Amino acid sequence: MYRALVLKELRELWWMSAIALIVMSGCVLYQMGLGFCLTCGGLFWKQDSDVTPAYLHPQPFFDTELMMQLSLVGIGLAITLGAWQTWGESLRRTWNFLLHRPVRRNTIIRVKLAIGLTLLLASTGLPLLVYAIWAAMPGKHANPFEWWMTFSMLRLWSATTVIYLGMFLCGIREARWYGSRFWPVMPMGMILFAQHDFVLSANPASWVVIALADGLVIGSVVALLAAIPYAAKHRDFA
Amino acid sequence: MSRATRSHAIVTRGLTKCYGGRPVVHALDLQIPTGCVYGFLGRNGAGKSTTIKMLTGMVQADFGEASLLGNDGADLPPKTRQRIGYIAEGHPLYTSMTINRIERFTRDFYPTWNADLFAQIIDHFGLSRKRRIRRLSMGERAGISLALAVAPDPELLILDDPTIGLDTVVRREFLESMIQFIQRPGRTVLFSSHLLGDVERVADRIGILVDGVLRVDCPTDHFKASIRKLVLTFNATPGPFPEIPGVVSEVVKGNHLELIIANYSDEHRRVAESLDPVSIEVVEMNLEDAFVEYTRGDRRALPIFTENQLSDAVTA
Repeated sequence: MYRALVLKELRELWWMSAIALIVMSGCVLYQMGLGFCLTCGGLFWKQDSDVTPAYLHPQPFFDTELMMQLSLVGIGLAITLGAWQTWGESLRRTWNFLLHRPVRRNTIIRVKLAIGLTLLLASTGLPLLVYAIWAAMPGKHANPFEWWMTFSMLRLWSATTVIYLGMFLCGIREARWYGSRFWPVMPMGMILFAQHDFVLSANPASWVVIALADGLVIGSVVALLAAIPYAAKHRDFA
Repeated sequence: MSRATRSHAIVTRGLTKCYGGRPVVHALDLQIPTGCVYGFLGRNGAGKSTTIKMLTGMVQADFGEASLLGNDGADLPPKTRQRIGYIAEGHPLYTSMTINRIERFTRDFYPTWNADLFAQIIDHFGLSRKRRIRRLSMGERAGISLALAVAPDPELLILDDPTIGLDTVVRREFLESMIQFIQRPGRTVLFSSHLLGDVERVADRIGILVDGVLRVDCPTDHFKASIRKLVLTFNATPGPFPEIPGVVSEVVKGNHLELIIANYSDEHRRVAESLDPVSIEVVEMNLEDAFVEYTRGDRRALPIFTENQLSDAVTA
């Protein structure tokens, strides 16, 4: 039965994840030096062209452009996945069909969350992993690289889970109107914004602030993971 | 487990649900015996769907309790859900799936999945397994819903207005498939419907909800026998009928006084005769007419229950 639930979720969500993976891969490839020629409509490696060396490869994982791209793709995917998995069922009126399957309601919700989180983190994380491995290889770029340099990006990447879980809670809880329905995602957005801000200004002097921001994210994830099954158990699937 | 829950597939006690402070189901006491085909009737908004959703644990009751196959309806264990087939209103299914795929998805949950029975019902509706559900008509979706609900060979089948939106032919096919299921011994069916002809064909017992209150719970024939239409003809415009228990509604049409009477008895006849009409005509009604007259009457608070239920109520 787990197999059936997992396959159902994967079938419904794979395309969103695939789009995010493609976009994120494109962003990473661009950072790695792949360029797109607008006039000839083809791809080329920038080191083979006459691009100024300073613009060839920015410092890996310290580039604000990639962080912004990760934020946009990650948040977009998190919102889409969370909404689809909950509102999608509501709009198609399939909750009653799904929840009548002979399996605990919590199990259904946990499978949804597990698949959603896996797809979210994999489709944004895999390109970053490839980028990190590339950056760690000698001779690929004219910048120093240490693995700790990836922590800022890693922090931002993991913080998108807060948006996903917040959106999932928005979709599964009962609310009278959109304003009150969306309240879980609002503080989550603020947390992510704060995280993003701290990450960008990361330097040794701000480790305490970063630790606080990380604590906030971890606390939010724990709170949301507790709130979602509670909301699913107590709401009316009318 | 009480004696009632052993011999009854469904038992509710004081089941109540309010929306916006208004009770849509009010203190529902229902006992559906095992092996019974129970027609659950009521006008739009009477509370039928809400009741069914409370029974299946989709909606939380504000008060009271429901028991299905001896288990708490609000928290049915998976083993019990395997024994219950449920078709929600409107036949909600994953429309992106093909028939094959939705069968594969569903059968993984049921060790008792009867693939032959599923195939029989699909064939009965003339459906190709490769078709996507979004391409099916409402009638075809109803067939898939029924096949998915029945293939696990459930002991209890709950159907929320399953024939709504279906044309006459498909409705007939749906009911025929359902009747095949009913013929298996020990199977209990609860189905709500607006279509009284369907109920009359298959239900051996009915319950009627009026504004969230169960006003009728008796064998179908008993209900039909209980409701009578009396047409009294006078030489002049008649006056009002005396206030006696059982009169659901009265309408004056020219020199005629038409009365709808629940639990019709000799007393009603005597009172009618005391008005000295020219003629008294007692009209028997089919279930649909009886239902319509009973539920639209201006004096509805006239419960019709079988005698054993009344004695239960007295001793409770």
